[in-house]
Amino acid sequence: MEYHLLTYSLLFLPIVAILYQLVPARFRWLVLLTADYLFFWMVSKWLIIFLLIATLATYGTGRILAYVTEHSSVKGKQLTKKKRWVLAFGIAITLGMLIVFKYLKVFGLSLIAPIGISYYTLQTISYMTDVYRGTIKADTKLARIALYLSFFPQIMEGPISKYSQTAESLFAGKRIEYNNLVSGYQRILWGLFKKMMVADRLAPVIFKIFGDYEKYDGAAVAVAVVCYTLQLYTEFSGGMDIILGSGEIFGVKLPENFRQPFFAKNASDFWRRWHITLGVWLKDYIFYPLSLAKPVKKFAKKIKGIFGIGVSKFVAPTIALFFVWLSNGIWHGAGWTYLFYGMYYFVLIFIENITEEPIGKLIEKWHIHTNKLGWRLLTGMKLFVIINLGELFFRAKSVAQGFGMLGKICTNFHITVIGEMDFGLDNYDILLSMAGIFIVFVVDILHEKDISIREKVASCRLPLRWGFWYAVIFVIIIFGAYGAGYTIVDMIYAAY
Amino acid sequence: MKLNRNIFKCVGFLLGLILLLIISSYFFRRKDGLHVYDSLSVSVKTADIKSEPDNSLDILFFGDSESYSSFHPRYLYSKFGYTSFVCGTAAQKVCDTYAILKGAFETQSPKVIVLETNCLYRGLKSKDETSDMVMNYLTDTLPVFANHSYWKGWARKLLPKSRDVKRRKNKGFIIRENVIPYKGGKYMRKTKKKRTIKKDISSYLEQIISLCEENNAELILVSTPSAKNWSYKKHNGVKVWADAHDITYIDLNLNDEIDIDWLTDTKDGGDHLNLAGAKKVTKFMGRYFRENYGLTDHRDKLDTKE
Amino acid sequence: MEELIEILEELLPGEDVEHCTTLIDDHILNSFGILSLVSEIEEAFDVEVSPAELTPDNFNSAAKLWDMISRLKEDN
Repeated sequence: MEYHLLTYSLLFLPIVAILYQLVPARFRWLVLLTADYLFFWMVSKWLIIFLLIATLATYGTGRILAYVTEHSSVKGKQLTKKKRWVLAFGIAITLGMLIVFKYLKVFGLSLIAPIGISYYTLQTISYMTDVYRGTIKADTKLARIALYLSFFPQIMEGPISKYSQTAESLFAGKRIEYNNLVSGYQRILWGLFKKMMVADRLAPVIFKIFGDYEKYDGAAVAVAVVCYTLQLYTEFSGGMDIILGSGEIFGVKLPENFRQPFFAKNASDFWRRWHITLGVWLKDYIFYPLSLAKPVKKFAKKIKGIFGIGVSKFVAPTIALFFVWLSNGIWHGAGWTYLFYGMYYFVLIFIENITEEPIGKLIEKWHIHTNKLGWRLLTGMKLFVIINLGELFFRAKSVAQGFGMLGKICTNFHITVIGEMDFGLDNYDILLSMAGIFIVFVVDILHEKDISIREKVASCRLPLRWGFWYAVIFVIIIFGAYGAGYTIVDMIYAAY
Repeated sequence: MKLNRNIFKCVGFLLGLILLLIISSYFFRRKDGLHVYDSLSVSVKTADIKSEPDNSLDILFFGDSESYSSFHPRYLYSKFGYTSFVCGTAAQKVCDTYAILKGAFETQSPKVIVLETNCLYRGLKSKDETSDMVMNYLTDTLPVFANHSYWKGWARKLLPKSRDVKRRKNKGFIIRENVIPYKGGKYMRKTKKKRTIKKDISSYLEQIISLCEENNAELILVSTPSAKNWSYKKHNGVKVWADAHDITYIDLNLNDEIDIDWLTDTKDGGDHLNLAGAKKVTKFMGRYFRENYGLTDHRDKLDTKE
Repeated sequence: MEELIEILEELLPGEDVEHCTTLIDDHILNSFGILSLVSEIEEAFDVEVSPAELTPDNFNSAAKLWDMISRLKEDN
């Protein structure tokens, strides 16, 4: 059951919430866990066994790590070594399942994966590593681990949360607060707005032109690419609004996955604002450990001896960065386009890192005010091109198609074609998608300025408040891209 | 006390919402009271057909995507001189067929109504389309959900420049020349089994027949070639129904005369025909019309030329 | 402590590193900066910083950093 279906937000979610509230506090976690497993079962049936194995492995590894730390006869380095073996074993189990389900198709073996395996596997690794590092204590309650790994709103497409962020509140069984309930549903409504007003409305354009780009002018291809970026953003971040809103109802504060990505300064900043939880995961469990790993440090020292600190300080981070982006690409799936996507950002961010100092000096020398609108517009546009170029290859069927489309944009671009182009949408839908994008843009500006619309509306008097939400509901009902003549698109990130 | 007030507020908000839904549904209902599934397609198609000169069409084609992939009015005109229009819409349901036909008879007086049979096996409710139970329930009960796209019609009236509907150059046919061959071999295997036409579909068909009779037109059922969609079981189902109601039924999937080459005549691996396939079907239909109906060849009249 | 401030000043010219308590939260130190800082600290104070130490909590201010360094020194 995908989150944008009304069956989710108007049937499944309310039933779970009501049961949760009716049951005594100490059993509430049981309602959540039952809902989690029911949700999982409805999509993946018997594949739930793999989730259970992962849950047991995660719990067990944590317990063993705790036991070894307390009872081991050895101390210091030898203890660390012992713990490392336990951790490696635990990760091998959960990561092994992910690899089998996701990458066996490289060898022509295609399996249907349990839902959310790409997401909950990262959470298993996060928990086990945090216990190993001692940043959290190994949980003694299996139920809490089970809840942490399977929370039904986040199981399908994240956010990837840390144990310290959600486990406690999932298990606590706090009563549903009126304010959380209302605010949660308001956020769900906003998610549905993004999905139904923008993402699904743009779908035909993308389908049409990406499917058959040779037939179209470069300008049309460019439009399709921009549409895809906007679709991906509204669809994925809209999904997050529904997911985080659902969590809010139960008093579970899931980590944000988006923070106005298009207002980023540069590519690395973009990735601190887009799919944030994946970025944080990669930073904590790949970037830092790798750049602090002994062999990498040794290598950096050698370089320092030869080229000096100016070069050597980039060595460790760059090696780690390479593996971060390799993982990012591969995580999305076994395909050259994803690998290309990862490497694309590796190269970009690498360039940004080594040019940061010299460019900073130039900016000072030429007295450029980086806060002025003109400069911000310029860097914003540069970043927008970079993002779209990345998403072009991300969506393309093959790297060759990606280059084919890019070639079209570069060599056969006639802006006038756009006026006569049939994008598969009628004029009204084109107009409405623009209006929708404009609204999303304005809301993002407000969020960037730390203004919360929900709070603003909540401070109004009742008639105004209700009027506002009724209006939003009816805008979606009347102008939403659903029903006959529209196709509702499956959640894009649930496929990764 | 506070808890009670909050529950009261929740219930109040929801009651208000339900009230607004019911009131708005009044404005989104169909004035003629017909049950229509795809209100947007129906209104667009009705507007299309009304933009044709009055009483200018001899034949109307109905059905789902098979119809506008198979019947090529301009080709029919150039070969036989008969004027026609494809009133088929994507995934058409017979309730929509009926609504469009009813609108068409207001300005046209066709002699022949051709209904492509693939749509007879499509259910009338929205639950056949998506898995969203709640959305389907709302769509089937509240016109504001079902007909929400009506706003496009209102917008058209408000914006003066867009008031004129452009006449459709290809009279409802969609030209598609690409080829993705079908290599699955024979798909019409003789059997006695049949897929019976459901009751609600049948009763709509009967209404369509009487509508045709009132307007002096004849309904014929045609199954156009589709390796993906058609089968002997479906053939048997339609055949039984057509015999019982004394309606002409032509199954082109069993007709060797039209000679479809599945390697070149389909655009998507046997689902729909492409232009080459459509020409073969249209030529066959033209000959059939010539032999069975006293239609006039309009080709000498300049006024109907494009 | 002074040595640490010197390192920070060199790494983040123009920032009030002595009093700032939001080095991470306000993105003054990014992940690359953290790594440079770590390698400087490791060399200057002869400690080993493990990935587990790389939390916002340890890096948000000079004082917090100094706490971490002292702790690591003791462990040695």
